[in-house]
Amino acid sequence: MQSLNIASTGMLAQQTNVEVISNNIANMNTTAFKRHRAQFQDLLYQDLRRVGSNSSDAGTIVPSGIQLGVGVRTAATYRVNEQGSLILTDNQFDLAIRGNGYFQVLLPDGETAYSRDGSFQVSQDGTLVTADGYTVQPGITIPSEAIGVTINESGQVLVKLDGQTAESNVGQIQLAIFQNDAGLEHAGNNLLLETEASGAPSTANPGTDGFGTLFQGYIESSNVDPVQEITDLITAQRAYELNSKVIETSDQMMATVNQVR
Amino acid sequence: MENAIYIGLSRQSALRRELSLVANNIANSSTAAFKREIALYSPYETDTKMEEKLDFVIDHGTIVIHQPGTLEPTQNTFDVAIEGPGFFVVDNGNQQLFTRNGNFKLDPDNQLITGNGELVMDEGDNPIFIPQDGRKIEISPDGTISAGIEVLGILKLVEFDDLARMQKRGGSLFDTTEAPKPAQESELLQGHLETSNVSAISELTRMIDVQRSYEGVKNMLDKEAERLRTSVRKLGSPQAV
Repeated sequence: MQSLNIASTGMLAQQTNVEVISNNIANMNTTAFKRHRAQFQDLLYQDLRRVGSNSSDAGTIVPSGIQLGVGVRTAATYRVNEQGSLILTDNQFDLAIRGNGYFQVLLPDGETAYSRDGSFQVSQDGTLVTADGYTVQPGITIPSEAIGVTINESGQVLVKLDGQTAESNVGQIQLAIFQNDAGLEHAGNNLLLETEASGAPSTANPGTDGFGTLFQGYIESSNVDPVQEITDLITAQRAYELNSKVIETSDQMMATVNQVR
Repeated sequence: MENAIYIGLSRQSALRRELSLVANNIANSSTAAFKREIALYSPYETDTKMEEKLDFVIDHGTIVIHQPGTLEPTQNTFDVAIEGPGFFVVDNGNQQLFTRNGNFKLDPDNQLITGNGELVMDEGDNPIFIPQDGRKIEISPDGTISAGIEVLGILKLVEFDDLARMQKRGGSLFDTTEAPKPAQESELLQGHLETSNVSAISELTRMIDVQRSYEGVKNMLDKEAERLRTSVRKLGSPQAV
């Protein structure tokens, strides 16, 4: 029975759907996490033409053959790049981006990754690093004698040194933007990598046209909406059940055949 | 003499194909812009030596139901849904095909493509280039793609008089023998996707219907086999009459 195979592709697709939704829910409290959606596509169609089918029979509304689809496949999972809400942490190295853009992070292998997770810290040699210890690009060193650090909306890092009245500029944080954010690839640990689909990054200071601004002392929360996810989960579960019902029905029809005497 | 059995079989094989159709609809209940299909039956007349003719069952064809799905917000720049009967025009390298699935992306050459990699066509049947300079891309209801005040291209949107001539090609694509005409009654909505138009209730009902009809035919075949058996037994032993 072909319907068995078709229904199994449907169950697999819904399983993927549930996996994507459960990953969203699991990351509900992950800083700057963007929720995902699974995207499906119908598979190829078989043109079954049988002897006796007649294209001229019923005028134009009936195709001459029978088209049978063979199921569904997961085409892609894509990110929904809606802004998460900003949460006040009062931590001086916590940065949130309001608007478009990603922080640039230098991975140990020399590659640049992108992230909206701005919960930064200072390493032992004074460099601004992510929670995993990767350097934020372009590199910024905070002098050890600094008694206060201000990072303004346009990304300038200003430090106040002990005994000095004026603040000194020790660096500039830049943001990268992509034309197709949804095409960025996940590398785990809140990091994203450039792909062919995302396009190449363009970088500029925060606050430039098209780029977001920075907020010191805030982090961006995930954009997962629990109500939306639960609704999607229920829909996925029902669709899964419906597919398994097709398998059950196919099985019963096969059993009917076996009973023919 | 075995006509009843053959007629039953013709009905059963048609029902099996209909179940495949229902299975495909259900499997694609989460596929963006998927259009459900129904089977069309007709009698197939044959001459017999008797006065009355016999009608075999034939599943004559499949019909795509082009009823629109609901539009779901996705927030993505390159997700475009069509309100109205229109189709996007895409090119797979060999020919132009039509789709209502507006889940587009950019390829390495900055061209707008579908999820399968077919190029999305503009009004002059050329690919659409989107420069990667970070400007916000707006797609207006009439298909104009713009970055700020600069117009980057206009999405080609077409309509057809006879949707029944459209054949599915997989991956939400349609092919047709009819020449497309420019869209009059369709508008675009950026950041949305059209959902599948499969209705769980009607598919489930059809599935139950298919299964019970299948069992019904099987019972008919059983009875016919029994009738043959009885008549052979009775006719074969004259003293028992």
